[in-house]
Amino acid sequence: MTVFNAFLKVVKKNIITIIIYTLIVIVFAAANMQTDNGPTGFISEKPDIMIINNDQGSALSKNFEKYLRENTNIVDIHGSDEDIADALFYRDITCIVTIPENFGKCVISGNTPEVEIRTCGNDFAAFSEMIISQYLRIQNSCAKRIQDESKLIETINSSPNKKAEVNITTKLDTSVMSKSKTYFNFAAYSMMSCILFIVCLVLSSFNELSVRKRTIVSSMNYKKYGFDLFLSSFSYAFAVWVFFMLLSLIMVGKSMISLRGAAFMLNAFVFTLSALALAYMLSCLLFKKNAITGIVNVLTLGFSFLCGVFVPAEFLPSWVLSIARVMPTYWYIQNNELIGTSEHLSGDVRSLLINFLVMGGFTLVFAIVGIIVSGRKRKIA
Amino acid sequence: MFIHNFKYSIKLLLKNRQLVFWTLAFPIIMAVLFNMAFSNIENSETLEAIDIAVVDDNSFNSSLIYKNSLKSLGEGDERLFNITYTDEKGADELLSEKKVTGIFRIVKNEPVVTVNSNGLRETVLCYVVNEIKSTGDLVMKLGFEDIRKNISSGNKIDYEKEFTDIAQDVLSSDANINNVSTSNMSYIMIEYYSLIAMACMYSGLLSMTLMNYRLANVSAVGKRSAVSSAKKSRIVLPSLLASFVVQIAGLILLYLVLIFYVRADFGNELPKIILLSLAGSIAGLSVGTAVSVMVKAGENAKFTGLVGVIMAGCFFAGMMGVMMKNIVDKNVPILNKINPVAMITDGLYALYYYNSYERFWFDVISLAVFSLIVLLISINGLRRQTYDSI
Repeated sequence: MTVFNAFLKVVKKNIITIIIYTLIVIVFAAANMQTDNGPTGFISEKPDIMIINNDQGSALSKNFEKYLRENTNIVDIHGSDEDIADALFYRDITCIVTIPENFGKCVISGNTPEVEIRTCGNDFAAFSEMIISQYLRIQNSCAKRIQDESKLIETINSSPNKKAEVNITTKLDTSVMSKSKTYFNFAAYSMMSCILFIVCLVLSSFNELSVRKRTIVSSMNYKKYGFDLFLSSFSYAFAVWVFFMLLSLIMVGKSMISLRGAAFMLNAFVFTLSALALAYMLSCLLFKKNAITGIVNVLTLGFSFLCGVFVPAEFLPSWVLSIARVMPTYWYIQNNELIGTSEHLSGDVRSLLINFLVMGGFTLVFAIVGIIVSGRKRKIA
Repeated sequence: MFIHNFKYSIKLLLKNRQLVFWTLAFPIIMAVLFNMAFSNIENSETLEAIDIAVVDDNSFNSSLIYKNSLKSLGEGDERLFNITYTDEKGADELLSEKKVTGIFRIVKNEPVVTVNSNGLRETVLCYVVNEIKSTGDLVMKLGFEDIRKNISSGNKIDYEKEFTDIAQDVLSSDANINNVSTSNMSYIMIEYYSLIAMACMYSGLLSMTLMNYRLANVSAVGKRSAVSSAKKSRIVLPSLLASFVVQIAGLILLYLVLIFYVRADFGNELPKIILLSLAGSIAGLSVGTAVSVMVKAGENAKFTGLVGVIMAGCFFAGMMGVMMKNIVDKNVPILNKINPVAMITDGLYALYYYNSYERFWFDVISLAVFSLIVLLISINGLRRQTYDSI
């Protein structure tokens, strides 16, 4: 009970830190849980663009705008040129299209007006350029044969409404799966930080030489003392896991009460055990409490950046992912990906189990290193 | 006396491992992590050639418009598609193994696209197929129009040539788009800029640590300094100068890592970047001094508190997600106008992205005003600290 009380004291003292880490997962997960498209059918992606129409009176320029409205999301940025430039830089819009003053007249007279675009250079910007280019090519080739404005518009409009049949194979609710994956990926950082920070603080307090000496000479059974420490740390880690799982019910919703939800939770539990073992090993290795904040920050941020927590693993270079394989977070994220994208979970059981086993292996290695180091320290004391 | 204090201040700073970690090592570790995590992120945002499978059967071979259009879209260095021509079974296998984005096939003379899920690549495939279909219909329409005109005017008609000419004309038509985009569009630079800003503000940890040694209500050294005959300015100024020197050394290290390892783009504006970094470091020093003087708390609490405040500033300036700076700038602009981390980040961003310097100078002046106000508050606090007993 003494050990448990000490644990609670440290938790109480560091409650602000725990709240901050919880807020981080809420803010980041919420910001990244954009609603995806549902599984019911194919829905086209639309790039966000801005149109500056300097030929407002022309029916042709309006028709061009109409086509862009059908194929893109038109965003109106109110404010200065600087605000518009900022919006482009931060990808609020991917392209700015400027229709010149004499657009309509130029087309009717058989010339090809110059349309100015400014893009942010990403894939959506390339798609915007493709859409703009397609319309202008059709318009220009029609304008060579038709000089009457209304007939020209009618001919242009007669073509773009033809849609091919599109079949989508996935039966997964990609929207919900994407939300769950995002939440559980971000939770890796917060859960690991909460567990490492607090468990390391408590265990290193008990590992301090003066405290250890007093414990050794006391009448307390050493095995019971060790068991109490383990039980308190495990209870705390379990409480952190339960808390984040409850939070997932709020953040993701009812879909967590399903087989896939259970798989996500189980994965998080196995990961919690690795984090707990890592905290135990660190507390045995660290000599100064001051070092804990720095080391915990570097480890948790390092794991998160390199394993696909903050940046999706698909965007990471392959050499970084090779390095990440020596970290438990990598295997946790891999499992999240599998659970979130696999069409039939039963077909991927083997891969899931392998990832669980690797995380279990990490837990074992961390625990063994911790036990060896702590045994040596006991002899020194 | 000044040099003696300065020398010992430097020693005190460099012997404090926790301080050395946060001010010198942590920004460099973060720079390395950022580089590892973000080095590929913008490359993966470009639209590379899309892998598709085409069911190469009789229906496809008889639909010349699709066959020829897809062939031309799958050729050349700037091709839109990497096409695998295969049979029905092979195409389904490629799609289920996620080796292709989608399958194109002709069923009952109509195009059918099959994709695994929603996404941009899938959308591009569908858009292109729709446009081929629309262009085909348009060619037919224009062709029949021309034929009708020729019949009514009694001209001789070569049907095949008529349609081929129109198709050629539509496909080779020039869109006349002038792309005036700038090349400085890497938003990941904001991460590095906010990292520099964080390193500048961490100079506050240096000045705070040294000032704690000079304050009678915080440390035993401070008590001895207070009862000595030395002027406060002779004790405080060497401490601030020592903090500044260590900070500059740390910033030089960080810039070396960013320029030679990360290869961050600082353009040709190095003097202005140095000026902004110095202004930012002074802002950091003044914040550290103010926290030390004005906040009545233990050394550890002040340290943790200041790290927390700086990290919160970094969060709003976009270090933990580039979009956060934009969100704050749009919705609560005042927050980043008084946030020194955001001022430094914004100044570097202005140098990188804009051709004019107004925004940069506004940020430099804002930092100077911020530092002055905070320093005046600290001086006022220091002047009033006298003790009959403590």
